[in-house]
Amino acid sequence: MNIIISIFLKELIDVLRDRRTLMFMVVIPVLITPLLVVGSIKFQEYQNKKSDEKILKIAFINETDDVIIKGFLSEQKGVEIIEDISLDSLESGIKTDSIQGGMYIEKEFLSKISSNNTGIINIYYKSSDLMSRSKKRMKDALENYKKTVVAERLTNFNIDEKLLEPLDIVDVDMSTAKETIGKAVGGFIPYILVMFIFLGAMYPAIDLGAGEKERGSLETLLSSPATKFEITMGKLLVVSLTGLVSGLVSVLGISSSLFFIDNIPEQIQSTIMELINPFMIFSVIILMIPIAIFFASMLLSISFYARSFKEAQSLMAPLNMVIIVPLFLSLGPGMEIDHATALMPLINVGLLTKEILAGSVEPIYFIETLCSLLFFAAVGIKFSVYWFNKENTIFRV
Amino acid sequence: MIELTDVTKVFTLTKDQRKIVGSAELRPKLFTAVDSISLKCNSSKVFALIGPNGSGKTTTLRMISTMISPTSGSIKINENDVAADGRSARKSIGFMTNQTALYDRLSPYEMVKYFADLNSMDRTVFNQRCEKIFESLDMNSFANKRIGTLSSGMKQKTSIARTIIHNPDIIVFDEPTTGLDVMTSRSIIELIKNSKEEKKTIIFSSHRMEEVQSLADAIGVIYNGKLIFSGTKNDFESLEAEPKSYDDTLINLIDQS
Repeated sequence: MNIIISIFLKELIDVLRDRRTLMFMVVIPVLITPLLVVGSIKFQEYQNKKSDEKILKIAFINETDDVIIKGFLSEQKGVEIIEDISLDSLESGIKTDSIQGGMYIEKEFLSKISSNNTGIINIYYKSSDLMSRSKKRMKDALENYKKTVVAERLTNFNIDEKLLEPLDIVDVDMSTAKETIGKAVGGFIPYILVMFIFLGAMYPAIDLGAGEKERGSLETLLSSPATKFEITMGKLLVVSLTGLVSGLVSVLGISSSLFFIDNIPEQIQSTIMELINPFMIFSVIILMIPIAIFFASMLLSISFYARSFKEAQSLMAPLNMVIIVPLFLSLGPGMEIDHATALMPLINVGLLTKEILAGSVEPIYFIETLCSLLFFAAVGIKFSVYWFNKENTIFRV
Repeated sequence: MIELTDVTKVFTLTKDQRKIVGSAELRPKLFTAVDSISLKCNSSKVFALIGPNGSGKTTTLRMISTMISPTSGSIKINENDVAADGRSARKSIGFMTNQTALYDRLSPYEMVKYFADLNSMDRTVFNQRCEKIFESLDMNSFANKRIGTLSSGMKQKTSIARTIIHNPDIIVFDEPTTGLDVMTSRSIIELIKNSKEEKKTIIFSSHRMEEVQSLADAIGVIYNGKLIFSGTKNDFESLEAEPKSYDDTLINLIDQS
């Protein structure tokens, strides 16, 4: 045990003095995560504002005497109506982005409307122009016109408007704000958490395995009285710890980013604060420990196998996908924690975190998930010890 | 004392390795790196293991240091079978190569302390021995600096201190001076001489015949995994009717085998 502690302490000092590891373990989760979260929200807000304020040129070709539709269209915010334009120019204008939308009202439109038939109006836009809101603005204007026509027709037939609304559906959402936000954010949190555990563990794992080979220090270490089991365990503990710290720091980073986002309603803010409670933090840390051990064992095994730092990096890259896929699956519709999903590694973490954050976790699923993760962590440890004991692995030519 | 009896090491080759070893028609799955070798290195003696690249020198030294296990045969360190108790064997071994094999982010003191801890050295004994070694190697001026910032000579001294901190009875050197400059090589040669004076058992592999000639008491020639010669320095020199260089004697031995 003393030798494991000696190896652990030495590796920990070594890792904490490595700028690259510190970068992945602390700097990126603390600074980059909030920057990414706040930055993407701010950027989205800016884009929405820009899109709302943008004046859209809408070509308007009206072959009738109607003026009501034009009135509704001009009431829309940020619309500049362009008249006296041919249909060909309208189409080419949209194609070349000189105008953002167009409306064509056929000659027979008014006669059809007045004879209680359906009038046809074509609206032109580019669905590929994601920033443009021309379609929405044109449809809003036409919706207002439609309501006027329907109301007029019903009055002509002496029909009460309520006759067309036999149902008044009242939504009564019994979910608490905590449950709603918890389930929404719960899918995102484990994703960030697991990715940072992986990233935080990756560089120390490479340095402690392939790095030792490259320096030639593995031979001297193997010639010391430390057994291969002790060497593996000492290194595994450090790699697990760095992964764990990186995961925790990333959660701190995400939480701190909330302070930089304005416009969060007070109720949502207080709900978020309610979500971050000691039980939630304790439960998530408990789940993170076996995940960190499992990742550490896999990464170290790859690192022991690799001949060099570079080879270890390229061998570890595909592992990202192996991690992302189950987490992505847990975000899918209809995916709920049950006795089967609680046993599936990573999927169970994604699903259980949602429940923990929503405050609706059932103890049996927590226990099942934890047992499943501990089982995989134990298999990981066993495998990395077996792998390090293989002469072909550590002295691979 | 080191004693090897009928030691064989067979490696299972990977697909890629099979292409390198053996011809296209005959690609063996197994490769015998060391084939039934027996040798004995006595206390206070220096044993030189020589032979061309890929002959099995490093594999033999790795087996002595218990980094890898022999496929068959037995290795005894101070009359204890390493297969039965590898940890005890390693406690009496110091291992060194031409690579300094140090951790750049540690200081020489931390590096040496780490290996003392791995050898479960008593704190007081460590302090005394560390003081003595650092003094004799003139390391005190850089003992607490990061190894990454040291010169190659300072690094070599740190490597020496790490190898001998636990006062091993046996020191294994795997091509210790290959690729090193004259000054650094000299510090290793001094270490070998001093260790011999301290009645330690020394085994080293080398391609530098002048080192073998000046340091070795006994010589083993290994070729294609087989020990084709083992004897005293005099026995080696007597292989030729007329005095010849060690290089020539080695080449003649290989040609005859």
